[in-house]
This record gives sequence, C-alpha cells and structure tokens, in this order.
Amino acid sequence: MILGFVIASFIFPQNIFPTGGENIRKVFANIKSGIENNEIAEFSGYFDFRIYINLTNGTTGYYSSNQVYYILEEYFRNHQPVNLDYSRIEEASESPYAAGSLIYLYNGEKKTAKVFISLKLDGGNCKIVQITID
Amino acid sequence: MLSKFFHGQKKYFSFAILSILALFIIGIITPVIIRNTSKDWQEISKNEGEKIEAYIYDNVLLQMNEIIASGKALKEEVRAIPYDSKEFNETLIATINEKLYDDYSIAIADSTYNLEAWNTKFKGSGIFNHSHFNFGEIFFTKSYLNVYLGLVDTVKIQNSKYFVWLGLPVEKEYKLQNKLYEEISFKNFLSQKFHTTIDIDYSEYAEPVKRNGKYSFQLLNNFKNKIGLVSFESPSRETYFASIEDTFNSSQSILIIFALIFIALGAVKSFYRIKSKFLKWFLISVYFFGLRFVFYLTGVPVKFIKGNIVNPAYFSSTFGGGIVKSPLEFFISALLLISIFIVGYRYILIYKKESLPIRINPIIKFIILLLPLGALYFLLLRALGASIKSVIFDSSLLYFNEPSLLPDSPIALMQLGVLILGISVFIATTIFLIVLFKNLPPKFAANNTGSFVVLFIVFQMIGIFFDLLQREPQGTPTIRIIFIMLSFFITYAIFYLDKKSLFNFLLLSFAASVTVINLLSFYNAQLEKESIKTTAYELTLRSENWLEYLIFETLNGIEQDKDVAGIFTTPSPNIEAEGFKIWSKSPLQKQFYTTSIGFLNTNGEFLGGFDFQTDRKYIPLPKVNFDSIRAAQIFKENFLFTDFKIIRGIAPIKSADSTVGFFEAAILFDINNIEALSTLSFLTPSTLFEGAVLPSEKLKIFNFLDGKIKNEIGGYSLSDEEKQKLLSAGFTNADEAWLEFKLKDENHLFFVLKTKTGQSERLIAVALKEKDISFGLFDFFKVLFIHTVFILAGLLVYGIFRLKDYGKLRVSFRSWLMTAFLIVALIPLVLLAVYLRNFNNEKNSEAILYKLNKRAISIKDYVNSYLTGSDLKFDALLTKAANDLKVDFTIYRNQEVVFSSFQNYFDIGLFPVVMNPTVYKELVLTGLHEFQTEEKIEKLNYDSYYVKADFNGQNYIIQVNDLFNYIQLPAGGTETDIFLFVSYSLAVILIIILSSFLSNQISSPIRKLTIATKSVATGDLSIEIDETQRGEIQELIDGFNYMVKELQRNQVELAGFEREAAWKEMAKQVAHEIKNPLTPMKLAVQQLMAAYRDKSSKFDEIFGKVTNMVISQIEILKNIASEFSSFARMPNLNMKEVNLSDVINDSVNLFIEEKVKFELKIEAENSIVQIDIEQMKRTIINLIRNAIQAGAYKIIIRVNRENERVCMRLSDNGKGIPSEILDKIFDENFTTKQKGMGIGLTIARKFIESIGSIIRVEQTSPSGTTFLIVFAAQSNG
Repeated sequence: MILGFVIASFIFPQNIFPTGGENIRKVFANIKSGIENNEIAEFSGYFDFRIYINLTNGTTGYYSSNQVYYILEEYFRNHQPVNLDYSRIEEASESPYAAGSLIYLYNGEKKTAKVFISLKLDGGNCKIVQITID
Repeated sequence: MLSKFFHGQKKYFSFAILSILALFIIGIITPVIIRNTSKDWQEISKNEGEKIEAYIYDNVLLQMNEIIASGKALKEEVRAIPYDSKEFNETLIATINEKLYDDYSIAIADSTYNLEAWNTKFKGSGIFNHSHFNFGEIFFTKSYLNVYLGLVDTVKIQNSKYFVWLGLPVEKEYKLQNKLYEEISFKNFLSQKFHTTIDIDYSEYAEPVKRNGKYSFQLLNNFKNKIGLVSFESPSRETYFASIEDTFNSSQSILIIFALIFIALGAVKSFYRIKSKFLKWFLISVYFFGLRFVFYLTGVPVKFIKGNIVNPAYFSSTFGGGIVKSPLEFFISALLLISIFIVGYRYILIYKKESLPIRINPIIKFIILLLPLGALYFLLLRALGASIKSVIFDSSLLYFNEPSLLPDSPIALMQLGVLILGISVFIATTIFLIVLFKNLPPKFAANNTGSFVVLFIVFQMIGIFFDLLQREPQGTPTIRIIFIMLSFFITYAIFYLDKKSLFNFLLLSFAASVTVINLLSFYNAQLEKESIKTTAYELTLRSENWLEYLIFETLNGIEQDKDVAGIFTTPSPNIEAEGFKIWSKSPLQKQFYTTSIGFLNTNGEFLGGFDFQTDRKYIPLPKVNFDSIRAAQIFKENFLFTDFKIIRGIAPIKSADSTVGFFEAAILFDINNIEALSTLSFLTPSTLFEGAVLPSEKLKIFNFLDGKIKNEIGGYSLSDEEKQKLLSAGFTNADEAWLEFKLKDENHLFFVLKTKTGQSERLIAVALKEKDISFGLFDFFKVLFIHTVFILAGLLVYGIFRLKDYGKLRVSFRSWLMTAFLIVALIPLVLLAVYLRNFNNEKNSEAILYKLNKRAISIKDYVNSYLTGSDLKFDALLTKAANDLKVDFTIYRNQEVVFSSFQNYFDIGLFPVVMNPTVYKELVLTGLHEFQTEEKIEKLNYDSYYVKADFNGQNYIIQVNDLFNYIQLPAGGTETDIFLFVSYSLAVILIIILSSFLSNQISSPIRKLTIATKSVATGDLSIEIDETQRGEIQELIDGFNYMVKELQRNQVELAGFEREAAWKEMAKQVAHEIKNPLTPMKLAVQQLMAAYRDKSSKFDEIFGKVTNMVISQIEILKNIASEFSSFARMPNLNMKEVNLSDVINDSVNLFIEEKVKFELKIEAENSIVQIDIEQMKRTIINLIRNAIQAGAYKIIIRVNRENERVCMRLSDNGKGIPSEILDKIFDENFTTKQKGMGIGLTIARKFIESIGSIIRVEQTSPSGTTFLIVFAAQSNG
C-alpha cells in the first residue's frame, strides 16, 4: 500500500507522454485525429513543459502538460468534437502553426470555434506550445 | 454460513445487497424508461421549452415589479424633500445616491430635460427621449455600452414637473478578458442555467427567426406591450436523454458507495475479532484504497459539485492515472491516506512484539527491520517531495503570489491537502521509527537515549547516500536534514514522553506545515525560474504570422454580422462605442500592441472606430480599390520610416446582399520591440502573459537587437557594464544562458535567449529579483497562517468530539497565566496593527492627494499661462498641456465633460459624461474648492482629485486621477501589509515564547507546592521544596517547608510516644496474660517437688499430671504469643488489579519538579499486578526519595516480564549502598540519615512480602543501585 504510493510517486511529477520527431504536417495531422477522435493521448506526447491554452469555456493561461491533458479531456467531454479543419498551416517559420475551425456539439447544439495551434521546434522534435479554441 | 460468520450483522449486509440490487435494477430500467419516454419526445420538447419560457417570463416580471416598486419609493422620497429649501438639489442628489438604489441607474430632469440630479451608475445620455413609451411603462433601452430594463416617469414637486429615469442594467455589450471585468449579462445567466444558448433581442421591433428547432417568444412589459424577443434552440433530444441517463448513472454511483459503506458496517464486529493488528491495518488500508478507487471510477463526489474546486485547470496530476485531477480529488486522496496512517499509528502505539516461529538473533532481526523501514522512510520523504512538486508544477494556483491573506476555495483546499499529506508522511515515518525502537536489541534498549541518538545519526548519514543515489533528489539537503530531525523529535516525544498528549498532534501538524511550506517554496522558486525561460521564449514567439492570424480571427464572422451591418444603416450610431464592443470581444483585446477597429464607408472613407493605446490618428490606407474587396483581405505596410509595421484587415459588410461599408481591424507593431503594460489595467490582460506564474511587474525585460538595447521594461536602465555582461554571457548550443548579478544592489537571476530575426540577431534577457527577506518571510508566514487556521480548526473539531470529557479537563495555573499574558499582549498588538495600517492608508491617501493636487495645479498654471498670447484653441491647449506635462486629466464645465486626455473612453460610455454626483454636490452646490474621492471602473477602485479652475473667466473643474496617471507611493498598501504581517507574525511568535517562559517561571513554585502537597498527602514527609523566590512566594515555600519539617518531627515524636505507650501497654497485657498460666504452672511444679521430696507413691501419677498441665499452659503461652504476633501484623490491604505502569506514572509525577530525570521503560505488554495501590505508591516514592537523597539525578524504572512474573527494576545513579550495611537496610530502625526513622524500607519490604512478592537489592556500586521487585504471578495469567 505505502509501497504503491511511493512507487507511483516516482512517476508522479514526470511527463508520462513520450515525444516524437515527426515532421510538422504529421504533428498537425495527429492533433486533428486526436481531437476528432476525442483521444488526447494521440497528441499529448507533443506537449511542451508548459502550454498556453485558451478555450471557449473561459480556461485561459499557462498550464503544465499534465494539466493540459486533463483540461482538454474535461473540455472535450462537454464540447464533443465533430470535425477539425485546418484553413492554414505554416511550416516554414521557427514557430509553425495551424489555424482552422472546430465543429463541436455543446448541449446538443452544433457550434463552431476557431482553432490555433502553435508549435516550437526543440532539437528536431515538435512541441505544442499553444492551443487556442476560441 | 455467511450469516453465521457475520454474527447478526445481517441488516447491514441486507442493505448492501439491496443497494446492489437497486443498482442492477436501475441499469436495466434506464434504457426502458428512455425508450418509452422518447416516444413522447415532441410533447417533452414542448414542455421543456415552455418551462424555460415560464422561468424567463417570471424572472423578467419580478425585475419589472422591483423596478416599479423602487420607482414608487423613489418618487415618494423625492416628493418629501422640501422644495423651497436651499438644499433641495443637494438633498435630491443624496436621496438618489442612497444605498437602497445602488443597483439602478437613476436620473432626474426638469420639464425641459435639464439634468437636476443623477447617481453614479448614470452614464449621461438622453434617456428621457423615449417618446413612444408611456410614463411608467417598462422598456429595454441601450445606452452606450449597456442595456437597461427601466422606466421613465414623472413626479410633481410643488407645481413643477420632473422626469425620473430608473434603469436596471441587464446586459453589458462588451466583454473584457481580465480579472477586473465585472460581468452583467442576463443572457449568460439564463444560458448557464438552462445549458443552452439563450439570445435576447432587447428591441420592441425584433422579429422571431423562423427555423426548425428554434424556440422564440416575446417579452411583454407591464403595459402588455412587446419590449423584446427571446430565442433559443429547443432542447436537443440527445442532450435531454443523456441528462436522464446521467441522473440514473449518478444514482448508481451513490448506490455503489452505500453498498461499500454497509459492507464495512456489517463487517465491523468481525473485524474487531481479528487478533493480528497488522492484518487489521492491512484490511482497513485495502478498504480505504478500494473506496478511493470506487470514488474515482464513479466520479463521486466530483460529479455532484460545481465550481473551481473540481476544475482540473486549477490542479490535475497524472498520479494514479488521473485519480487526483482536481483540488477536491487531491484533498479526498490526502484525507483517505491520513486515515490509513492514523489507524496504523494507533495500532503501533499498542504494538506487541510477536514471537516468530524461528528464533532470530535480536541484532539480525533489528537489521532486517531497519533495511525496509529505513528505505520506506526515505521513499516517503521522496514521495512527499514529488507530491509537492506536482502540486506546484501541475497547478495554475499562485500559492505565494496572491496578495490576499485569505485564499480562495481551490487554494485553501490545496493548502489543506498538502498539510494533510505532510501530516500523513510524518505519522508514517513515526510509525517506522517506533517499530524500530520497539525492536531495539535488549543490549541497546537498556540505553535508549544513546540508541536514539545513534539511530538519528545513522538516518542522517543514510539521507546523504539516498540523495546521492537519486538522479533528481526531491527537495534540498536542508529540508531533508530538518525532516529527519523533526521526525525523530516527534518520535521521541511520542515514544518517551506522552503517547496521548494533544501536544503530539500540534507537533505533528506544525512539523508537517514547516516541511511542506519549505518544499512548496523550493519548487515554487524552481517554477519561477522556469517561468523566466517561458517568458523569454514567449516573447520570441510573437511572429507576424501570429498577428496576421489575430486580424483574420477578428474579421472572421464580422462580414455577415447583422449588428455590424446595422452600424452602417442606423441613422446616428455611436460608432466609437460599437468599435469598442467589437474590439473587446476580439483577440485584439488580449494584446498589448496598439490595435484599432474602424468602420469605412463604401468609398473607403473613415467613419469612426476605437483605438487602443495610441494617440495616432487614423492612417488612411494607401491606394486601395475598395470596389475590388469582395472578402476579407490583409494589407501590410511599414509605418512612416520607423521599425513599426501595420497589419490591416479589411472586410466588406453586407446587408441584403449589398455592401454597406467596410470593417477594418489593425495592429501597429514592431516585432523586435516589446510593448510595455498599459496604465489602463482594466482594459488589458492582467499580465503580459495571461496565466503566467510570475506577474509581469515582477520581471525586468531587456531586448537587444544587433547588440544594441531596444527596450527596457520594468523600470530599470542597464549600465554599459551590465549590458556587456548580458551580451557576453556563456551561451549553450541552444543559445540560452543563465546569469546572476546585481542591479541596484539587489541580486537578480537572468535568463538570456539569443535568436535570429532575418539578418539581425536578437537577444532577450528576462530578470527576476531574488526575494528579499521580508517577502520570503511573508510567503512563509502567509502559508503558515493558513495552516495554523486549519490546525486550530482540527483542534476545535477534536474538542467538539471530546465534549463529553469536558468535566475531566484540567486547566493548569500555568495555562491560565499564559492565556492571560497572550490576551494582554495580543490585544494591543492587534489594535496597533490596525491603527498602523489605517495610519499608513491615511498617509498614502494624503500622498495621493498631494501628488494629484500638484498635477492639477500644474495644469491650471500651464493653461492660464498659455491662454493669454496664444492662438491655440481651448481644446488644443488642453491637449498640449496633457502632452507637455505628461499628465492625463479631464475637464468639466457645470456637470459635463468638455475635455479628457482619454476622451474616447468617455465618448463610448466607459466613463460617464456627467460628473460624479457627489463631487457635483460638494463643489458646485455646496461650494467647496477641491474634493478627493474614490471612484470605480469595473472592479478597480481609483482615487480622483477634483479642483475648481478659472479659465478665461469661466468656471471649470479639473479632475486628475491615479487611473490615468501612475502615482508612486513610498510604501504602497501591499508593501505595508507585508511589513505589518511579517513583523507582527514574528512579534506573535516572540510573545508566545515569552509568555510560555514567564508563565512557566511564575507558576513554577506553585506547581512545586502542589506536587509537594500531594506527596505529603501520600505520607512522604521527607520532601523539601528547593526554590529561591522573593516576597510572599518565598514565605509560602518557607512556611511549607517548615510545616513539613514540623510534621515530620511531630510524627517522629508521636511515633516515639506511641511506640513507648504501645510497648508499655503491650508489656502490661503480656505480663497479665503470661501471669495466668504461670501461677498454675508454679503450683504444679511445687506439687511435683513436694511429691518428689516426700517420695510419694503417687509420684509417677503426679508427674504425669503436672507435665501435662505444664505442657497445656505452655501451649496457652504459645497461643498468647501468636495472638500478639497477629496483633502486630501490617494493616489490612486493599488489593486491586491494576496496571503497574499507571502506578509508576502517578508516583513519578510527584517528582517532576525535582532535579532528577526519569526514564520509564515499560517493556512488558501486560503489566497488570494485584497490589494495594496506595501502599505500592508509597513503596515507589520511598525508593525514589532514597535514590534522590543518595545523590541520584537519573532514575530508570523498567518493567518487564520474567518467567511470567512482572518485574520492576528501579535503578539510580546515586552513590550506592556500602556493602557493610547492605544486609541491614530493610531492618527496622536502621537508617543512615540524620533525620531518618529507619522504617521506610522496612515497611516497603513488609508490604511487598505481604502480597507474596519479593523486594531486594539487585546490584549496588558507587555508581548506582538497582532495586528489584518481583511481583507475585497472576492467577489469571
């Protein structure tokens, strides 16, 4: 019992998600797929140490990768994603980003929100630094 | 068979089974109910819509009734004001500004619509011109940025008619994204209540949108006229049934919890029958862990609670796969964890070494225990560190940066959670240490203090190795050392002093609090360090692309917005206000850049708009063919030979398929520049980076471009040497560097980041000042204060549970004294703190007044000096004054604003265009020259100074405030609060220490007297109070000592007299009794002698008779001797079965004021003996007193079992018993003391032997003596 508590503590503060080295388009594709399937784990591996998020429910600010996982999980539980379409993907800059529209269901109503996802390049790996669903 | 095992606990198990059955039934019937209900969906949908309609209708009706009632009351009050009095207008203003009408916007105008009186909520528009509504008829009206529900009515005073406006704000049409924004939105309130988007068109002309699934209804006023239209999506079938399903799921969750509780209740009796304490603890732990897991699976209680305490945005960790993803879940987990450890702690206190099937060397056994328990001890410390790290890093709560002393609910819950977690870890480590101490090999157990110290050193050494073993140790070496010290101290207090003392609870709690605060502070510092880095990276992330996206975002949706189209089609719109509304809801509001919203006509001519943070006039677009703009387009251009660029987005606005105008959104920026914070904090995001760990005012940012400084934010200008330090920092491969050096004698930590922007090299340095001692202490005391509140609340809860024992509570003289000292010291201290705070506030207020007054006078002088001989128009002159003097101000004439440096905020209605009514009353009506007052915008309070001014013979009023102007105070409110809090916290701690010391000193002789009196009462007359005091206390001590000595002397004398008298009496009795058989014996012997002398023939017969008779008389003498022997025996004993350790404790307590240290080693699990308690106490006291008189300063009393008999050894370190008198010490009348009687040990042995036990000297030497008492074996074992 105590041992369980102790062993768990070793992974307690760690980021449990691995990082990848995929190209930028693949990262955005994974994010799209993860959001549409309501599976945060599909793209949580790209989360940076701290991420800025801004959601339609008023949640705004910098959060740890662990928090962002659960904040998005909670958010998409109440705002069921239907479809995410990117209208623009910027790959060339040092800060790649994708902007698009998310269609989601909220209390049975179909709604649309603008999505902006920004990455940073970290030693060949892409890290999500900003997610805006506004 | 089950019911047999569970012995009558059937009812609980029946409830549990019923709960589980109900759970399954709900699972089965839910789809059936949903299926059947869905058949009537049309009807349900209609009913749901009607339910919403009825609620909104009732709510609006209620508000209308309140407005009507308030209007009536106001009119009555106004009519009651004496019309002819000079103070009519003043009274009128005072009346409508009463607290009663705080919710309303109120204005009173005369028959020609001239404003006579108004309140602070009135913005000052032509509200009385709603001619199409009747007087007293309620309507919605839009005024500037707000929508009101109100009425216009008339009131007749004397013969004059006045118009009264009374409006309740129902909707703010703008939304600022910062913490100062005060939302008013009837639509949002309704939408949140009914979980659907409810739209209200506040217009009597609104027409319903005819669309499937859209539900609309009209809002009627008190005259049954239409005033608005409500529309919302009809409830969705899926959502409706999902909510039904959710309700059933919730019921099932509760039933599972009930079932678990009933199972636990049912198993209680069987649980108590389990003998192994370890097994009991294990089962309880499994149950609690199971319960927590079920809470997690079912979402109980989180799913039933709304608000911040269940919001993962405040705290969510990956621990246990998401078992603690909100502050509430963290708290519940901590609570269950502490419950497990408390149960373990209670068991460990009565823990008994269980015999093992195999015999193991005690040293090997101890080492076998030491290894896992030692490992667990340090792993728990690591676990605590890791948890606190998660609490800091996985949380958006600012545990230290919140200025308020009282935290809000999520922080309070997290603070309580970490405190509980800390206490749990201390309890657990105490358990480990107690187990180790209880298993110390006998050789070491004999000297427990020594073993304790050795073990403490061993743990400190292991701690060092443990840190070396870890890749990333949790916390710091200092925290680890303190943790080990505290845990050993707690164990010592619990194990050796008093197991059940309340002091242990306080000790555990404060040890946990101190450790947890240190860990929180350590990780918070780490997070702040990370935050500096994040800030630097964030500054480099602001690209043109991002800004372009923001413009697109703003344009998006605007094109087809009917409200925007209305701006072009409405005859005279407040175009600035409309621009502000759009800006406030756009992403531009979240930026610090200069941004603007504009409206252009179809020819591209600028009609108006709103701009933020710029005094630059609208810059027309370079040649653009507006006819060609069919959709949103972006234009980029450089700004007038500067490094600034403008990104501009233009979108056509259409109405009925034709373009009615164009909408423009623009950002003016220099991507290599960093914008400073605006003084208008109510309009901007709270910090430079919203939600950042560090508020931007705590940071200094230095921005270099190609080695030259471009920006310095944070009020510090770098010297050349300092610049060079940053530019030549040792950069890593990632172009990052960390530096530390002093700025203005204050140490700063720098993160420096180098980036390439085009051909240029950019360097951003972000600096954080090291916390000075007062801020560090403030952080510490702030959290300690919160923890102390929780600890005291815990004590209170404990007290409530123990109320029934209230009668047994004993409050010592020392406690009374300490309480009295604390009250006497703290009351003036608190009063002084309040006074100082108020005094400082007053001084600050005076300083603000002085500085604002200086600015106002400079404006007055400046304007007057330019009025003569200048061609500048009045408006232009005022603008020049604002620019030249760098003072932002507002000028009023009569009650209206005629000029402001921030005129656009008045034009859009953010600030009222009429003067603050109280100021108007004081300056215009009463005739004061100047006036200072506190005003409010959103949730932000600011100070305003108003002063009369004469320009060109006209009367004006100048207003200068600290909202538009930055006023630096020598000691701001927060600084003063921090200073007061820290200094008074230290003072309180000092007072507690001093009070404790003084009360101890003062009460010491009283305590000694009390204990000495108890000793005398138990018969110990050898006591003497060794205390030197002055005055009455010394007289009392001397008197007591004299009294005891006299008692002792009298007792000796009395005993002597009694003994003599007793001996005399006894001798007389003995003589008398002996005399009786002696006479016949003498006669018989004489008869025998005569027979022998006469050679009597019957000699043989006489001899026989005489000898028989003598023998019988001797027998009588023997009986007499036995009788006397019985008479001299010990008095009757009052034998009872008691715990020997209790008797020892009671006896030892009488010596707590003596200069002797006791060590009690109760090693026997069961030390129940059958004794006379009073006699036993007397024996122990006697042995202790003898030891003290033999010079002992340490006495060890050890109780153990040997051959099933309880043994008590009392060892002292006195001078020992000389061997020549060793065999006499138990003899009556033997003593080596000058005043001794030599009966103490005699009586002790008599008593001990009388109860079938043995007392003897086990060993004696010049370094001490050990007395051994072996108690008689107990018949019941």
